Amino acid sequence: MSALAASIAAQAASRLPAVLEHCRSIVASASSSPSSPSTLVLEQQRLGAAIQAYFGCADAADDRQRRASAEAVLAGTLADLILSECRESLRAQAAPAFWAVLANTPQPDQSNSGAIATWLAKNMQAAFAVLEASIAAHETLFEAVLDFAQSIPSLSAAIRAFNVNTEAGAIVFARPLPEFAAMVEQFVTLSYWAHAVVHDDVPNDWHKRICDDVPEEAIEALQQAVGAATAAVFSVCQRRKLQHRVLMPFVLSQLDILVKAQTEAMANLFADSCHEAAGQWIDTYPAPWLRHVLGESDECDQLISYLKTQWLSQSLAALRTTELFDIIVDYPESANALSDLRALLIHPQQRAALVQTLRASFERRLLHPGANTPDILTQYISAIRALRQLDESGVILEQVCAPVREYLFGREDTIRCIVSSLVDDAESDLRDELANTNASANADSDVSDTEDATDSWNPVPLNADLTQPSSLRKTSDIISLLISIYGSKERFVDEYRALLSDRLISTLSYDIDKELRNLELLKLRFGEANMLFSEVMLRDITESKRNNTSVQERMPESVKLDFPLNVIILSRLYWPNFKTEPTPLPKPVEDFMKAYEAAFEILKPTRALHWKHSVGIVTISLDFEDGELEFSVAPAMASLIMLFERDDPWTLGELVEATESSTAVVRKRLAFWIAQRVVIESPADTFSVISKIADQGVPLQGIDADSDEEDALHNIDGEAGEEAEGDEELDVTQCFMFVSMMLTNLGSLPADRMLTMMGMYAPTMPIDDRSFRRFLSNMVADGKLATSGGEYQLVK
Amino acid sequence: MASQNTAPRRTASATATNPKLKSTASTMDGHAVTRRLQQELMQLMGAADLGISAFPQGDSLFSWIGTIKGVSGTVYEGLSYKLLLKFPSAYPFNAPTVTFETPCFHPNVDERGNICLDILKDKWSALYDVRTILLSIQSLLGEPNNESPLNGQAAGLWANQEEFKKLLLQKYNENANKK
Repeated sequence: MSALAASIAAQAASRLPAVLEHCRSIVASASSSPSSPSTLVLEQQRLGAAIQAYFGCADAADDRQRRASAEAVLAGTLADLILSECRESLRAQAAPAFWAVLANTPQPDQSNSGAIATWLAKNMQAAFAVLEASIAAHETLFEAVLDFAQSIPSLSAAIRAFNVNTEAGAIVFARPLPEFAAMVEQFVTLSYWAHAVVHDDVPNDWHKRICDDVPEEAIEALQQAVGAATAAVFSVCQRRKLQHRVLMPFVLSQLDILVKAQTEAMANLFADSCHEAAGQWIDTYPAPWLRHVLGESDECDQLISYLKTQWLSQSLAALRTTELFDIIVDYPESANALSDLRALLIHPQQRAALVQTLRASFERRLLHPGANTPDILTQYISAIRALRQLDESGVILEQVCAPVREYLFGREDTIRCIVSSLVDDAESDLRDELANTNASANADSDVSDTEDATDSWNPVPLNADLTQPSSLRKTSDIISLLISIYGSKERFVDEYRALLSDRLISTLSYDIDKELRNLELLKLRFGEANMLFSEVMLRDITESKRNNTSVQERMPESVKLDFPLNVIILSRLYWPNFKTEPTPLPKPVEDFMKAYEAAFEILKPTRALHWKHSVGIVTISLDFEDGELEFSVAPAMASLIMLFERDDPWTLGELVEATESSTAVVRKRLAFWIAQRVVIESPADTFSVISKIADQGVPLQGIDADSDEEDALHNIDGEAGEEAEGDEELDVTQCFMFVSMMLTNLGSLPADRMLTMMGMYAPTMPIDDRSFRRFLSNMVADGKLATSGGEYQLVK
Repeated sequence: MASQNTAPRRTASATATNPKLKSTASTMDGHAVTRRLQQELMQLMGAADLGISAFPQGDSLFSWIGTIKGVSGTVYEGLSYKLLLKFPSAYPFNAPTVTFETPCFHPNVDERGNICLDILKDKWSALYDVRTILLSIQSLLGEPNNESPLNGQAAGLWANQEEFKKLLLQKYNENANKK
């Protein structure tokens, strides 16, 4: 045992001086330039201590453990010495040599891209060639050290982990030139340029700048120089594993620029499928370039696939998400963009972002007073179709359109718009939809059936609001969705009735074929029972046609008029209420009507005829000195203008008296004739008719005249409380009657509560908070109401 | 086998659709009833000088408070009574439930305010409305039907109008003071 130990110690002792000598020589040869002496001295001291410890142990040769540990310390110290010498050499030699190339040749002016390109191509290539040479030299040196270390196992293990490439990279690029980052960036950009120019894909602005600076014939040479330089530099980087340290950040930022440019190029291209095109683009341009830069490796393949499936896709998805509002506007032309987006929506948070963005753009671009209700409806309908394609579960649609529905609900004319586009003669989406009888005829019963179908069941997406009935989400029937804004069909049916009444009254012919067809379609949608009133209305018209003929045949010749006067006989209970206004009629017409009434009562003894003078339409022709003008207007308008036959001019007061209406009403009617330039007001409150058409000037065929014309024909008392429009004044008597009824039964109430009650139970008495409070204080002043503690009560 | 399998499914779907039909029917009615009640309310505005009046109690149109004044020339002259009218969802095809809120000493009114009036029971017709109901009750005050009394004491006392009026006023004021 002790003999063996002694022999090992002797062996080590005999060899150690040689080892030390060898080390010194290697260190000396490795550091051709003087390295920092202090380091060496320090290392030598440590080495000396280690050797002493070793020999100390060797004396006590029987203590194997102590000797082994001393040997390990010695080997470690040796390894440290060798490696620090190597590092020192790299730091002292390779790094300065590399940076010297770049620092010693002055850089050209930054504004001249051509010069920069040339400079970069030349110097980067040179610098990396120097780097390659010095790393290679160190590699050879280190291999020699390794050979020597083979003889001492613990030493060899300690220095084997040393990697010249890694160390060189770390040391050389630890303190780069300040402008190095910019250089590499430009160099990477240039390399893509050189690569892309060959492939005719030149998205980066370098191309333009280079073309500005470099004569055309030199471009190819430059491109080749850059190509060669980049090939050389990249191969050095690949061999010495410098891609990550030197190139990667700039490669990624270059890719980022490319992806952004590519995404931008795809903006507003809704008609093509950009998703596929983007994949092809990656395969054609960035992918080969990446292989060129990074070399064929798994990492490179991963980067390319990431670029395809995530980077560009997400960028495109984000673009399409922000463009979704316009995509919906363009639908169905934009169907391809939608299928792209559908394929690109991978993450749940993308859906959430999409909902948020789209909601915001709806609110910004659509849900404001400046947008027309038909436009909002059109966009909503388009959104229903488009979002259905995007997400057939309907959750996105539901979430995005909730504010739209709410907003439409709040708009007064929504129902009118929906109903009129359902039955309008002009082609509209809704009309097609109505005619499409295959769509669920009776939406609510149909939906439950499809829900039970388990074959195609898919879970509801996570962000679905489960408190909402799924039926709405599932239904793709646009009309059902629109109806569901209001919860019931009633209001549509009523509105249709009002509209139908309007249309029937304002046609002079008894032609109702079109309306009959509409009615049949609506019956499918709303059910027969709901359409009963409208059906009776149409039957009234048909019967009126027959009755009118037979009644007129029975009338005495004496009362016959020299113009046709057709009567429509309505079943009062089935028609909406008409606003009746006193409408004085010319004597012959009144006589005719009396005779008509008599003849009718003979024909239909059980029926009574009540005339609605103000309802209907009159075609009148106004004769002027130099010609005549024809108008189709409401009877009230006609009777007003006829007054001017009798007398001219009229004052406002006289007209009010003659027509037995209020000032506001007369003014409104006059406004129509003034807009038509038939009546002029001069001076104020005095009206006269022009005598020549030539005096008319250009008739005001602007918006004003149009809307007045509509008003002139629109004489139905719509349920929405339209009649209050012209008459802003509060009807005090009515209001007091209502309030006193309320207070008689309920005792005393605060003003707010009364106002709420009025809103709920007297919708035909629209009143705003301010005028109601004024009314209340008037009543208190008149001694009709008493107030105490904020509550009002009747004075007994 | 086939018929055994299909038969239950058919019945299941039939029962599934039936409640739906019913519910839509009742909501449609609900809307029509609301409209009718609203119209009646507006019509009542003109009836204040007849000594009758009514108004929805709160946020529902289906429960009203009514007020009637005793007709002059009867013992009830100068007195005013509050009533509670509750409308069924099948109104006007079913009669509303009408009870006196103010205790009313009357041969045809019991102490809980129930009224014995034929038009509120078997003689009800959809042609009646709040106005006619209130007018009928108002005239019932002056012309009780002593054949079928709900309040025996009042019916017995009716013949003696002076005594009746004394007791009536005593009870009316008692109630008024209670408040």
